[in-house]
Amino acid sequence: MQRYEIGVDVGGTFTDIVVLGGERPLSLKVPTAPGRQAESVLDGIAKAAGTFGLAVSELLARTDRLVHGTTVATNMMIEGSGARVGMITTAGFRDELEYRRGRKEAIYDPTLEPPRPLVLRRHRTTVPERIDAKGRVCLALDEDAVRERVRSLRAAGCESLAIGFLFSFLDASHENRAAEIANEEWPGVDLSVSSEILPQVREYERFSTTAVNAYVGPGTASYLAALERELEESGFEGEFLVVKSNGGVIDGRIAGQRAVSLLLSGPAGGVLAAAEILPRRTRHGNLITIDMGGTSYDICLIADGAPRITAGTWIERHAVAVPMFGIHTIGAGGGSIARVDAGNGLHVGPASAGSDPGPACYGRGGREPTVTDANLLLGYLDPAATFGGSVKLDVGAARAAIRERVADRIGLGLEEAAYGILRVVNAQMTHGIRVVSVQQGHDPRDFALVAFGGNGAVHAGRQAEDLGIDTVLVPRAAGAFSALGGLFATPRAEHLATFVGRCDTADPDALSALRRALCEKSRSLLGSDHDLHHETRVACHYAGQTSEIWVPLELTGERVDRRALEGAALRFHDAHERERSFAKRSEPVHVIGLEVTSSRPSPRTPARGSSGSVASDSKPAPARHRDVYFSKEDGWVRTPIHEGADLAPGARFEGPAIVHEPDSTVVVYPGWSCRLDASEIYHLERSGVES
Amino acid sequence: MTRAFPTPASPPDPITVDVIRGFLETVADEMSLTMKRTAVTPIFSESSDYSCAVMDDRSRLIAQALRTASLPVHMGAMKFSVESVLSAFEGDVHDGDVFLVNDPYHGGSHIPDLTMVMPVHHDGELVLFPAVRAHQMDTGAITPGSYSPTATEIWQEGLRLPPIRICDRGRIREDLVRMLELNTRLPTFRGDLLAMLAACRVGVRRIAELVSKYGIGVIRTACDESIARGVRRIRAEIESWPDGDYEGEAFLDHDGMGTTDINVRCTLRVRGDRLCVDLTGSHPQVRSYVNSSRANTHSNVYLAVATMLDPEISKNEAFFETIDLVLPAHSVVNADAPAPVTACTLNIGGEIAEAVAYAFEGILPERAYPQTLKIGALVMAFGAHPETGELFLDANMDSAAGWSSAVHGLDGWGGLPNHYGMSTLANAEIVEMRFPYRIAERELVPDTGGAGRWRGCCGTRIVKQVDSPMLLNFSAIGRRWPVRGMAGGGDGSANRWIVGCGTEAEREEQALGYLVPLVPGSGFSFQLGGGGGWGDPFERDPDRVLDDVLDGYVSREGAQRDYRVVLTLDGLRVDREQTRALRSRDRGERAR
Repeated sequence: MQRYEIGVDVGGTFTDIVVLGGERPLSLKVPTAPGRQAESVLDGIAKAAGTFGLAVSELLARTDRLVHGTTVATNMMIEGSGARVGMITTAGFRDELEYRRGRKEAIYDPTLEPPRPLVLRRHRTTVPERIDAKGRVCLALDEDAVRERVRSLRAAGCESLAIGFLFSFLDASHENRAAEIANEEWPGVDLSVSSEILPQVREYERFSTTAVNAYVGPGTASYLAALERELEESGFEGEFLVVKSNGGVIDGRIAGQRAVSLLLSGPAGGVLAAAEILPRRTRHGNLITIDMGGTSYDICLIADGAPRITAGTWIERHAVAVPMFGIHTIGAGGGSIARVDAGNGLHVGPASAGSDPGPACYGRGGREPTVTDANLLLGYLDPAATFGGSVKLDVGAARAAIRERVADRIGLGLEEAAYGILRVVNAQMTHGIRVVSVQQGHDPRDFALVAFGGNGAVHAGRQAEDLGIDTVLVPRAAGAFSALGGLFATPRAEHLATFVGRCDTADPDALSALRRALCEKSRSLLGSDHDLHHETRVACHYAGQTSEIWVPLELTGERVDRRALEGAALRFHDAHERERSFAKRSEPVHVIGLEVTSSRPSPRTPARGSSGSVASDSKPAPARHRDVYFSKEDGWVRTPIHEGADLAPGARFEGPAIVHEPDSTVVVYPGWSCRLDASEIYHLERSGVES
Repeated sequence: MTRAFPTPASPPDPITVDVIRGFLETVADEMSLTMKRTAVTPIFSESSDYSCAVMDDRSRLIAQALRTASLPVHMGAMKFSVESVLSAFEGDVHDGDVFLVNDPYHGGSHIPDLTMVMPVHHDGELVLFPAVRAHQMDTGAITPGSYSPTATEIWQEGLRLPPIRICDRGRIREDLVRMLELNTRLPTFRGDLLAMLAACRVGVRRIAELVSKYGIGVIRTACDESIARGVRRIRAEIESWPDGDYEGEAFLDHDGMGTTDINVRCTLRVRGDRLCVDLTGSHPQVRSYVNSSRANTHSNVYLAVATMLDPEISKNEAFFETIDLVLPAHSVVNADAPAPVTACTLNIGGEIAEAVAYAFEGILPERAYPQTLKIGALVMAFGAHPETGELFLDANMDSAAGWSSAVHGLDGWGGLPNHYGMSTLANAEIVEMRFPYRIAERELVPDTGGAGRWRGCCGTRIVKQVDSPMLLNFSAIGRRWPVRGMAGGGDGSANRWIVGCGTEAEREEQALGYLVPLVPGSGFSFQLGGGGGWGDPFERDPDRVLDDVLDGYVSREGAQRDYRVVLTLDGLRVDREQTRALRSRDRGERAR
């Protein structure tokens, strides 16, 4: 009997489903029901079953794996709809979450509002206990106090508990004991313990990450449990996996306990698909993915097939310090609003018209000119297109908005003003790409851009030109591409531990023991019967630095030895020189942490394919022509317009040209060529360059 | 090789101006990121006490780091360093040269702030100067940390550097670096100097890319136009203010040498689209290190004015071109050499910013917000580290939390005023792993935020216990003169400075803690004041007062005393009837 695998990616507007196992991959999309993600997932599966001529129960019964990228945790952060969290912390440190290390994001603006608190002060309680910087207990845990705090937080209506004590990364015994007491006093409590969530130095970042976990945990867990129950009731018996922020997957039954690691579950899918598929199907292993939606622009760098991982970021202005894809987000999207300030400067974003009222051209009452309005006015978008399937775009409204609010104020012609909006927003995107490349020591010219999202491929050619990039890859169906990404993800677990020492003097046996303990933790998550692969990294720094670089610790066998440590030190010097412009090779290299990433092989890897495997190239005739404005010098240029549906693999044409796909637009700028390969990926190449 | 374009007669199109401005701001951000990642002392890597900016060949401020670490108290002052480099080395600035300066009488703020300036040349023509100003932990002086409250002359405050050439055409001058190293107590100096150099080099490299893309002519005119835009925007805002003279005055408790209640007086003269900030009437210069250098006074005035304007206005030379500054000679806001000045970036710099904010209460009361850190001086703890025997030196950057005021519509929050919002409080764990003490408490203290319709943020109590003998230097200010409330709001609480906690020697310092010995088992406890409130506290929504009580920002007694809000016996609800009665009675009394 035919077996299937299903990938699901829930986005803000659409839920994409990919089913592998049929003669060819099936991909389809259904609208996302706001606030009811599970429903959308089941709708999509029903639709897929229908396509195969199967009942839902038949399809699900034959499905081995279902991999899900979800924005459920992210949405709770954005909407402030997480749990009411109670926190227990070391006496004297009640307010770490409130100080946020003193951070204020606008230093000249006293009207800046505080972020929404993760835990109200009334629910932040303290207990006497203390472990010192050497890991010694200097004040025993007051267990009665813990009991009393748990009871009172429960009585106050808290829905989850976070426990964070000072120096628990050196000695977790107090946190563990407090957790036991919490379980006794409040059986079944949803508990987040800092030494489990993030056993790393820096109490603010650790407590904040733990509190975020407690905040999004209950909602995420109940969502996943409900979805899994529905799937099982419909006959699903396979593996239910969720995509993590770092591109690994985790069992859906335990994912809710580590919801903080799902905050980038949505965008991770696209990055993962790019990293897994494109190096095998094209000649590009160095990629920069960009995803431009209505309000934001997400950028991630993939070096040699490996997406960059960061040790943390700010999410809704709270520190989240778990490893995740280094996705850099800037506030530039199709809905970004353009305006002229009193000094005649033109600004675009970060304010966005969103989707309601949306750009002026949506005709829903939006009066502010947006990037989408500029794109429409200049001919990049199809003036005959509809929005949301029914509403026709209103070019007149776009013109009026740009004329009144930009052109007339700044003293430019209409086209020039619209083009100015694009130049400003393009420059912001270029800066954003520099942040993930140049600032990390990578030369963008060594990379290809990968454009997703409805608007990504409208602008990508400009960023490529600014940065000297020769190739832009555009997966034809970006949503499906993201959903597919999850199916290639590796079941993976990461465990961290603090280790303080130096590469030249550390006791290798102590490191070996620590490493073994971490591997053991992974086995308990991933199953010991699987053939696990463990990668070990150490966090290194020079004396005095507090910003580490993680480098691989390469072992021969299972033991850490002196040679492995020396190798790590060397890699650290190299990385420091590459990323930070100098190395101090004669100085000792300090170690602050150890991480083991354990994985079992993904059951599926993308087939290798050559993009040239199409029998012959074809020169498709454009569906029509339209005047498009590419520069002030050239003015309006009569440009061939292709409908994506008309293009088959092998299609090849020169720019300027525009391709309209059902939910995205690809702009081939003058001086560029476009080719659709056998894997349904558009290759935009600067003329004279062949990929 | 790109040729320099001749300067076009007309400015580039407005969009190119925006693109170049954005690029230069990004350059400053990249420099700043490089500094943070490469520095070796926690004052940079954890607490970000440094700033990056780009100046031009006329020492105009073109762009500053916005999204990364930057301290407004550095920003207005940096151009003076470039000015002094240019005047010292006129006609003798070469590709690959790097300059260093710290002297407050040569465009510096105070001696610990080293400013590194590196020119970008194109075809032999000077174009722009990326620069880093960074607070080195120790630059000599009588006492570790270089905050010397007993100094009466600048020479006692550390090694003075007029502009010197630290790199000669690409080569580091090792002789000078060795000399500098010899004049600091810390072995980390070279590492931090390298970090500054790395940041400057990133700036130079990135600006060179910009030059090769647009040519010098376009960049120059884009910079001119960026500044001109700022000028237009600032003038437009000034013009919307009613003409008149507006006064404000702030006080610093003492100079540590017997002079007390040192005033900064500010008169804002608004005439059409012109603003003059006149500090005439400020106290004559004093004996100790609270005097302000010219550069530092500029910074504090401009940051206070910038806080009153649309935050979107680029922080560039436009501020210097639009705002006239009158500084009385031989005064505490414009000291003559050789007066000592090391504390000035904090206080009296903070009082300068406060005086400007208080004067703005007459123009823009809703927004008037004192950008002040009433810490006196960096609190320096030092001694022999029990494990290494080497000197340790901690600036207590984990401890400086307080003084965050309310504005109209918004309670004070976050534990620090905005202008320190990119410099970060150190984590207690990092501090304890490095220094031999234990932090017993760092928490907000109820009833310390100034009462008001919008409440000032609570102040912080920080308690440190000492594991090893050490000495402590600090300046106990903000006791007589806490942060003032606005528009009828209450003042923030006063600072309290207690040493010898837990021993018989426990006492509250009244003025100066200098070489205070701390023995194992003892400690110190600083209660740092709250922010000022805004508006009449009797008008605060009683439900918000109840929330404050439930959250412990205000005590039940405080609710009744400061806000005339009475809670029910269980403390869970507002007793509306009693509250109404109490408020109307006491309003009436107040009216009489």
